[in-house]
Amino acid sequence: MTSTLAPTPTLCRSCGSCGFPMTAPEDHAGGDMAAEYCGTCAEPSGKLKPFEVVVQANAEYFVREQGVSLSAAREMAKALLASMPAWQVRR
Amino acid sequence: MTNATTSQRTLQRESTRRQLVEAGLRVVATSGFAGATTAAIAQATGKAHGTVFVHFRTRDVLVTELVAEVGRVMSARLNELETAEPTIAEVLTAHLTALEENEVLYARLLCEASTLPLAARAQIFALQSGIAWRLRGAYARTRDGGGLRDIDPVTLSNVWISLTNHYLMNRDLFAPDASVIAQRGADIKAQFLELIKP
Repeated sequence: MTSTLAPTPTLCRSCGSCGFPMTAPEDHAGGDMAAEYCGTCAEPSGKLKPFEVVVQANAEYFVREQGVSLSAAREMAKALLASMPAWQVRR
Repeated sequence: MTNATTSQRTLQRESTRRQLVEAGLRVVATSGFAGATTAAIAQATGKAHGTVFVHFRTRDVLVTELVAEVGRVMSARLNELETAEPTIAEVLTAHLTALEENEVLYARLLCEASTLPLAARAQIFALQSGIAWRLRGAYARTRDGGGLRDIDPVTLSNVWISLTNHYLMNRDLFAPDASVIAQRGADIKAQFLELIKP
């Protein structure tokens, strides 16, 4: 059987907190290509920002880009983050 | 336990997890998310039902991972095709390529979105936000040259996403037994570019 999924392009790294693709140095916290998290989710030092701050930033991203309501965006952001490696320990 | 044994077990574990995800996507493609039960996915891999739960705590976690996998592949394709400062047409082409390559799964995902766990729906919105973010950047660069009508960037991206989603969700009507993006993608893109002209 052939694979259902399209031939996998070279997968770029994605933020371990929000999943945002990180291709350029400026996408990574502190511009450091070795950083696990993006500049939205982590401080320039690479340390994750508090959960609530990251939820709000991700919710505002959904609102800014797609115009969804802030309350729905926050619920989605919380659910999305909870499924990410960085926030697994919170469960 | 030796390091070699540990490493082998880790590889085996990753391999099994990968098999479950790939089998899950095959089941979704044929039976939809509604038909993607943990039993069906286990059967598709030839593994015991309980194996699924060794790797995924619940079915919701597995479903979210399936959606995330589609998102990762599509997102990677978008990044691969992207130049540093793509035009709107280039963003649309990259998006259409990613959609065509993942059409069956993505259409399933759209049609069943309201029944999916919230984390999975959020994955869809994250992917769509990525498209919108790219369109916003391309629009800002093109508009500055006076090449586009004045339009709210959110509306711009929502119109594009709505248009493609409409064709995908009704792909059986627009292109029976074929890829709707392959058949209609160029037209959809041309219509959209015409709409946003000054």
